[in-house]
Amino acid sequence: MDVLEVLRTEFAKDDEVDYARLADQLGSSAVRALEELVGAEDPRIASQAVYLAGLIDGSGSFEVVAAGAASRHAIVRVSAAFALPRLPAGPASKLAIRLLSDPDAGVRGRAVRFAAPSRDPLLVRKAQEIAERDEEQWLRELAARLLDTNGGPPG
Amino acid sequence: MRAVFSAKGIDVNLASDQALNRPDLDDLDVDPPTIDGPITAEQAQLFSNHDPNTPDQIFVYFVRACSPPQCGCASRRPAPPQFPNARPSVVIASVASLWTLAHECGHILGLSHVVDDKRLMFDTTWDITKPLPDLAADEETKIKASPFTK
Repeated sequence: MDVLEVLRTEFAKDDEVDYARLADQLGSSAVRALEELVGAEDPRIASQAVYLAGLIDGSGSFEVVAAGAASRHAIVRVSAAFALPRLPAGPASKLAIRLLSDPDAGVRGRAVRFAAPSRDPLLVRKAQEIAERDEEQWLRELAARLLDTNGGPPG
Repeated sequence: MRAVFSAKGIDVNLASDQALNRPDLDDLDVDPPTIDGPITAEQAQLFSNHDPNTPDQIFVYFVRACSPPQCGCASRRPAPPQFPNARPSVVIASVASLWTLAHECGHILGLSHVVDDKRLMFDTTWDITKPLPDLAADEETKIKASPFTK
């Protein structure tokens, strides 16, 4: 069974997909197959590919998450936002900036959970903008609460 | 779901339903998903909507997405500190199949995965080949012995 087939079989499961085991066993050898799955039209499979890519510490895995962040499907973009804490700091910050401006409030909400407690002044400033001006009240409140918990916006 | 269970003489009753206004939990962190293990802070927040007067019911929450991504997950874990008793909960994502709800409730009722693609507890419900998935005799016995079956 090739890597793509292994991934398709595992991702088809309703629950108990063992992402950690897949990341350990396949590592960076899975990246090309994950790229293919993220580009496929099935958002269920694409969101899983993005999540697994976020667990793989290898060349090309960040690009898979970034491709997910550009998906036309919100559930794929939200999977990319969930992956932010597991990415290297620099690339994660760049991706977070994009996701903080996502048209979907749920994606922005997940990104702001990453941005508000971060030490990156730009991310914290973006989180402050959401707290002040986002069109969704629940998201303004969430961002404000997270910023308050983490010491407030930069001076 | 009703059709699968009623084939074994088990009725499924919907006690009540409501639309929760919790957009912050519509994409839910369930990482790591375990049926009897700890729940996440976000699961605890969502499950706090349980009616404390109905401890013998299964609570089902429909969300847009779970992380890690999966069709659904089941939890029998008590949610401390406000819930002294177990509040069995099922979370169903928007990518779920026709059978995911029944499958996850099956986990709550004590059933495990099987390798037969004609049965409800096949681990890939999108690929169940029988129009009405089966419950085996031993699964029926387990369900009828569950504290959530009257």
